[in-house]
Amino acid sequence: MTFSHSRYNPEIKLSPEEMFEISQEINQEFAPNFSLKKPEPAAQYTLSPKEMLDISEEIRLDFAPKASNNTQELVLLPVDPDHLYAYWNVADCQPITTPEIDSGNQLTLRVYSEANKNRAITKAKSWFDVALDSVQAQQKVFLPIRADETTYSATIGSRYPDNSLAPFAHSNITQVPLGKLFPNQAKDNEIVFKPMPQLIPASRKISICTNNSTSGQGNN
Amino acid sequence: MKNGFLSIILHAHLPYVRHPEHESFFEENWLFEAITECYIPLIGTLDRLQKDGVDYRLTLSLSPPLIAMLRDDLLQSRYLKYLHKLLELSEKEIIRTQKQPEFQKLARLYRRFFQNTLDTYQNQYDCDLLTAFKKHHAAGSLELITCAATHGFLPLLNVSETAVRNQINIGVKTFAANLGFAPTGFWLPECAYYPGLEALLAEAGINYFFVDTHGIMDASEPPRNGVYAPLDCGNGVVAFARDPESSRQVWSSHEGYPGDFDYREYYKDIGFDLDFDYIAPYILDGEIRINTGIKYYRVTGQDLPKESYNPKKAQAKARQHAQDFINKRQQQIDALSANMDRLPIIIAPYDAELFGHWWFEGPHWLEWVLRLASEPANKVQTISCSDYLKLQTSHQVATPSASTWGDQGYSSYWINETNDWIYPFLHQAEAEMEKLASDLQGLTVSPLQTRALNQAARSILLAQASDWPFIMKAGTTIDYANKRITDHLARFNYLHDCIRKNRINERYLTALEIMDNIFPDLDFRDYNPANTQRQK
Repeated sequence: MTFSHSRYNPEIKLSPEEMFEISQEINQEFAPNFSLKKPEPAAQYTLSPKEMLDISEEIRLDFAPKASNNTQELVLLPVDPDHLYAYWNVADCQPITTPEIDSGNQLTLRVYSEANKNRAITKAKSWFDVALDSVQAQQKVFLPIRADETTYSATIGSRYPDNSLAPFAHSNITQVPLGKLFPNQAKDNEIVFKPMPQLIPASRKISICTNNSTSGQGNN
Repeated sequence: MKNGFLSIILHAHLPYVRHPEHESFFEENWLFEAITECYIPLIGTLDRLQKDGVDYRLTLSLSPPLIAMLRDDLLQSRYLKYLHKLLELSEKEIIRTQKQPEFQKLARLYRRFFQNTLDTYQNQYDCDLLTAFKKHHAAGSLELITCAATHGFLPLLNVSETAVRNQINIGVKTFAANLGFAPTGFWLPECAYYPGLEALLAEAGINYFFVDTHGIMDASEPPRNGVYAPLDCGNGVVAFARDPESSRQVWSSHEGYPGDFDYREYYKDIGFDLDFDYIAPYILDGEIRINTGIKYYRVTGQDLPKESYNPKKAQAKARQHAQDFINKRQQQIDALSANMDRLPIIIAPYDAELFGHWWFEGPHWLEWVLRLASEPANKVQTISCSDYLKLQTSHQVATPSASTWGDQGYSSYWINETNDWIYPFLHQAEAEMEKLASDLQGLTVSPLQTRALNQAARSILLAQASDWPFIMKAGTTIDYANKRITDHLARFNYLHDCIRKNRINERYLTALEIMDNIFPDLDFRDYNPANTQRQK
């Protein structure tokens, strides 16, 4: 029994470029196709653009996000080495530990430095207060006790004259970056690209090294 | 003998903008402009480099929304309409400029440009540009990586680890489903890193990511090699840092190349300059002037009357700038390699949309950078990060500092008085989704309920895109950003309500599935924190 030779036919001459082109063509034409499956809406529903638009608008009208009054919360978010962000909702809250609230007491956000808070003995004051004027709001908070501190938590409550706090809600623990802010010089230096109503929003970064903005990437 | 490496990374991302509920939708033009001016010119660059046998390495990050939009039938057909309209306008321009030879020459150039674009898009790549990128990846020249599912700004979603995990995992899965392989690198949206993120990246099979310069310079240990060698975050996932010098040369208004007076002026467009009646068929609803992409002037200089654009001169300048870029990298590498225990790597990341859209000559500049770097006389070698990691297997161990590449280096651009209102709603929706997934654990869920639950998860992901708070702060298309985030949160609220009450209207659900058709393989069960805890 004879087997056909597996080697190539020597009569066919192929240059490296031709072989490369053949390889590319095969790759392009026959590579496994990983098609993007679409969700499969029920076949019986054929919706016109107008019907979809109506549904979209109806849902937006009826279900647009609204601030809820029944969730007691206080959330901290990191912003930069000097700031964090807090949002809270303590409307209709009763203090967690103290049964009486004197309406004359100041609603207060007490921000704790976690490292100091957890040290057994510390001479440093481990918290600072921010007076609030609303039971449901959000604001940027400056961090006066920086040093190397990066981890913070907070409590919102009613502050008594002796500085004690009747807490309404406790926050998550958040970590702000360790470092320094880069001043924004963009406005002085922008020359080339300025934001336009139709700019591609992805094109926008700023070179924080100089904060010079040329490219629409940070004319902030 | 090469003395060091240069890794150029282009991050390509656009928010998911697709509106089948409208016959046409202006913001879809963001994609169409980027295809015309950025992605197809980039593919042209890669095709020419391949044809000429240039040995180069380039990295392209493709965000999942962009991947999905590039493969979407509706957007593909709408793009063809857009391109035909541009061709029609360029034909009209050739006639209009008959008595202005220098403008007519440019009008002809635009017609050729749009015709080539159409040919590349429709004939060469059958309307699927991912096949072009896959081709160059298969050839070994182009490293492809990805990004978070909807480009969510991860430090501000980190109130829930599940939210961040899903942004990463769904991004990686979407990439793998469309490109046919898993990515090893990950572009953190806005380069936004916080300590601990590396654990979730490792879970998703990611080997490396990028931070801005100060992410490494302010790391938990002083970096021995500055930003010219990566750091191992302690779990084997490696962080590379942006090089400030190469960044400045492209971005800076004083030193940056794109502001050169010979380059095309972005802000002089016939959509704003020509007679209203003439241009009306090519602007928004025939009423609002917009950029058409046809521009006849060069930057010229501040406070000077604009002069006409000279493409040959501009291309020569791009080549000159490419040589300058390579020379400066070479000088940098010469200086660095004397003091380092390994070959330095310069990381030069840019938004892909800079090249061609804002900086018309950008693709030409990039092509010359890659050509020049490949010449034996140059001591700079372009490399992908994954190839570098194969050559260099041990790295200093330290944790990068929380950082972003945005204004001031941190998160303030994405949370401030213009956009802070979104975060309580985003966090609340995420918590409700997790509660829903958790409550349903172990219960039988019907196919209709499964569809509604998956659609609810899609709504959350689309609301989480970093693009919306960015636009709100930038003050550009604020109404659209507000509408999008409100729509997605409302759709989530609606679905949540239907699911909780077990009153799912299939017609309404179908409409939402058609309108927000991203992430077909998404599984709502991934929002159950208990499931992900078990996987860990």
